[in-house]
Amino acid sequence: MPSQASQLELELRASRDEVARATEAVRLYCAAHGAAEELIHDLCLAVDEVLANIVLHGYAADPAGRIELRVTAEGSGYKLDFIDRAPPFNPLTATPPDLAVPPEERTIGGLGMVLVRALMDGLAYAREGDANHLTLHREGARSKG
Amino acid sequence: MPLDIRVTQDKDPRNSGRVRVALDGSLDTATSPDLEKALQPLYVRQLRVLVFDLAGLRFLSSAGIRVLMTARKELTDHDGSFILTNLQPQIAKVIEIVKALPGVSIFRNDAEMDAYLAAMQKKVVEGGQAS
Repeated sequence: MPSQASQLELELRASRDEVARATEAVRLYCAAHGAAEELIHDLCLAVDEVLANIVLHGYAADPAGRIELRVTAEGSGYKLDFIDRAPPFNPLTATPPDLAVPPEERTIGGLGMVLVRALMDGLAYAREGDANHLTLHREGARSKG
Repeated sequence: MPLDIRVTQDKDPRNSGRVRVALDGSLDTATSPDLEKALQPLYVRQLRVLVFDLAGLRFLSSAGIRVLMTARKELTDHDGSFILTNLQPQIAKVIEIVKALPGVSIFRNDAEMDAYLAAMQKKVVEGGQAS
């Protein structure tokens, strides 16, 4: 097991296949660091959800769009950084779906952030120049079910 | 992770209108369009029961849940049954978090599901309705 923090860096085009490529890379990286199955699952799910929002809504599936994903092992936990140059969008302040409303009538993209919030321990957003920068943290050991 | 989709029409004439869809692998942003395409031809008036066998499904993201939600609506709009069975624990967890499938019958295994469907069928017959 590596004793210092290490990082996975990916540059992705805005397409569904690239979302799959990123998820697989994250899966392999975290498995190589000895992450438990449930932790790997939750990180991969967060990656799929955030990238889907950026690809489908931020870039409206324009394959010229570029996304940078960095995964950093920090102790037994992980940090995920997503950087894109789509129009300004803060997923943390976007209106969450009302789970009491029939699912078909809810906001597009809302379900993804519900999952991300439930599975991650920390979330932060910053607009940096012409870029959206979303950071997610997840601890290794969890008391949250 | 790819997605394998296997569709089986129930050949038992007592179960006409029952279709089983087995999913293996990952139902996510990349693969959900494939499931959407595979389900389209199934949405006919005669579809009464749609069973998703998720024994081999290891990953489900909201893109996939949305396709399942659409399928559910197709069934419930026509008084049909939408059923999920054999869920792996991480799949059940995700569905629970988003509460996207209220009123959906979720079974741990086929034995539970078969018992439920047999009871439903019995009710229909006893109610004197044409099936």
